[in-house]
Amino acid sequence: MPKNVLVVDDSRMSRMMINTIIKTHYPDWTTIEAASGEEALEKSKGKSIDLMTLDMNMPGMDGITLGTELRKNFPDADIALVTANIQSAVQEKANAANFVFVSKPITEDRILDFIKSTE
Amino acid sequence: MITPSSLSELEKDAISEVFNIGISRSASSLSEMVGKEVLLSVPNLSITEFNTAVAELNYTAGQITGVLEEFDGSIAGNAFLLFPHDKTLELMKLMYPPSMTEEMLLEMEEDTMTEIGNILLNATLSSLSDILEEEIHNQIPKAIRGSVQEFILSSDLAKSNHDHVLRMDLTMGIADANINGEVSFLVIIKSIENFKEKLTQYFGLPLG
Repeated sequence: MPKNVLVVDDSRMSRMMINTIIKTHYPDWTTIEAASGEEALEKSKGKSIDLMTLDMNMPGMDGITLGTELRKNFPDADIALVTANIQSAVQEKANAANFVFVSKPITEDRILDFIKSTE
Repeated sequence: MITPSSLSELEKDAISEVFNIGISRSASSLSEMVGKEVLLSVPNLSITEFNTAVAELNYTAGQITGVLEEFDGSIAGNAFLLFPHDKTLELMKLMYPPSMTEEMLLEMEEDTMTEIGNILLNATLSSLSDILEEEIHNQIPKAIRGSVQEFILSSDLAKSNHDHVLRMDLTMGIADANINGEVSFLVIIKSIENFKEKLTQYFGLPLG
């Protein structure tokens, strides 16, 4: 069944990479891209979101705060924190929030592993 | 030679991401050393006139303790880690046993800052090296006290006669400790076309 994926990263290149991986392997899925937490909240309003990939280190809201906010609207969505910030403290925060931790650099394997972990 | 129009917005974005990955990994090492989370700002990338970059970095003259690392290869330049002088001691207190006196810490200051700089700056340069698939030769880091400008003007970068440099800045802070430092890279790219090609290969996307 096709899914809707919210891709949030202030790096356009990172959004493009995730989008390309998803479109290559799941051509009938829909992606929504946002460059900040605020834009993600706005663009996801009224939509159905199944999966999210959230960058941690963004201007404004960070990925943990954003994911916590988004989960209120999408309690059943699976959330990945996709970040180069591999510190234990960040991984612990991701685990506590029940997010899947995906380390950058973004690779096909890492994104597909996250998607498969939700199936 | 790089100019403000040498890189597309997406290429700049890709370079920022490369630095972000390198710095974030090195922050993880620093976090282990100080036992606290290291907070990173979003990296700011610009292509700046060399003289402007030097003038702007001089704001810390006389008040900083830091590390300079020169590097050379297909890209070359200076990498800096700068902490306000009064915060260096606070940082060291997080790393060493409480039994060490201030006098002992001050004796260790230069060695400690050099090692922190070594870990942080090399990790970032290693990421760049992986992407370019070319070795970047790092010189031994030097501890800096006083004027950053003096160090830059005496470095190979100043003698390279490049009008513009790629500049990357970000702030690094220690959670719950009110300790903030600056990380800056001033980079010259010897072959802009080769650099762009390597970025495109690495990310697997057309970036131009």
